[in-house]
Amino acid sequence: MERVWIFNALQVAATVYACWRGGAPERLVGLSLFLAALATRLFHEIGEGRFVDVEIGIMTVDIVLLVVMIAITLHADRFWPAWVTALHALGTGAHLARALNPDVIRLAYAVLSVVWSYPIVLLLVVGTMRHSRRVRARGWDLDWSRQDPTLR
Amino acid sequence: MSDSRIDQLTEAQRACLRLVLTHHNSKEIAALLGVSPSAIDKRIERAVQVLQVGSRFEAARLLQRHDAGAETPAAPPAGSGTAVAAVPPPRREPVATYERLPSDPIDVAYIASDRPQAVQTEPWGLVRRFLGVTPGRGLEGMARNRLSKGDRLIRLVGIMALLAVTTVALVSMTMTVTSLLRQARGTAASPRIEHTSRRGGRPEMLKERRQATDMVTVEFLKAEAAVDQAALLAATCVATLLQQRAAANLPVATGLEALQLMSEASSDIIRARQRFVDAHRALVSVRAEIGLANFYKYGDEGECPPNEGALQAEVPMHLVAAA
Repeated sequence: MERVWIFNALQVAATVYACWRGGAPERLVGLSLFLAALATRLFHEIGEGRFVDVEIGIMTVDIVLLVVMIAITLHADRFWPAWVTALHALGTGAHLARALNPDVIRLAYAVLSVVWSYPIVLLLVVGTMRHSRRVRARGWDLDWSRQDPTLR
Repeated sequence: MSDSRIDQLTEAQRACLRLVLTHHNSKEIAALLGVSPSAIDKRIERAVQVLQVGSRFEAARLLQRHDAGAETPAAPPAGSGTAVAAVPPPRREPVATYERLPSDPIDVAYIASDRPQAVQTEPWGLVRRFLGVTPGRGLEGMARNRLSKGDRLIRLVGIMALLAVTTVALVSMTMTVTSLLRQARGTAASPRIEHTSRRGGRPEMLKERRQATDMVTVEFLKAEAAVDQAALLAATCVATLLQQRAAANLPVATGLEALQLMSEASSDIIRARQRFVDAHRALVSVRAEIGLANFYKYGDEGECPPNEGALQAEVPMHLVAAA
């Protein structure tokens, strides 16, 4: 239980930091991750004590988050969202593995689908720090690549 | 340093560069100046060559700095005497350094849309600002990530493959360590089994363990059934006592003490039954601990599901197997 709260604290802190110091991609990723964590928590509360093969609700949340992350990766003027998306995609892949093969050990499943959250939060924080450093150094930093007129 | 080079620029090239600085693309500049986009591209290209810089933006900024130097008295040497009109400063530059020409149509439009109030008055303003897509808010410049969408997708897939390979390696390592630890814990928990497992290989050990748990299970289920039966009998006995007193029209106080003791005994038995239910769960986890979880499909759930009957359902098969 404690581990869950530590992660929640990390997530909230990262989201607040991203919204405070980050550009649009950081804010958007921060908010999406926070909402996803919230929804996952909610599904855990609802689904407590039920014995289902794959937690459908959690899977839905993860897939929606994946779509959002891919969209951000394609448009943001950043490099880190690609890593975040890849990490999250693999986490979502754990659901798929579980759905295809129910023999996946619960521990491995939990590890695969949970463990990714930590580097993702770390990447968000580092991305926000780098953005704010660029803003301090140059006075500006693009949010989306299409803000560059030559790329339109 | 490049003042002499800037002097080499033609007025047409300068006009283009100034428009580049206000974030017009070649097409827009072409429309504004009434020439073809390719001509604009050529002009800018030539200017970039003359100034010996990397991009059109750099060229534009160089010209702007030059123009600013010519305008502001405080600024050091204005190399050329040519009085050139000040270009509207981009949003991010300190505005005070430059003199703005209010008549400049680009300038006016640019500054007006930059006011934050204009953003907040529209209904989706906050959302747009959150997403960084406020129209007219001229945050523009060189993009760092210049990859196209396809390239980004390819990169994404590449990163995923890299991570997947790394993970598989890590997970398999972890799994090996875990199974080793589990083995060590299982043997520590039951020294008798450790003894037998040393003699035989792993399949032998598993077979021994299975037989052990099967025998325990059979006895346990018998005891559980007996306690259940006992609870039923005790409760029935209490009920019968009450019924018979009423039927025989005996006084209410008759056999009070006996009734009291009997109902206490009955509740004790029910408590014992509860213990057996708890023990049932514990027994299942013991099985998981000594590595038989896979045979019972409980290992990946960690606890016994609500229906206790599952354990019984498995027994006949194992009896056959053991026989």
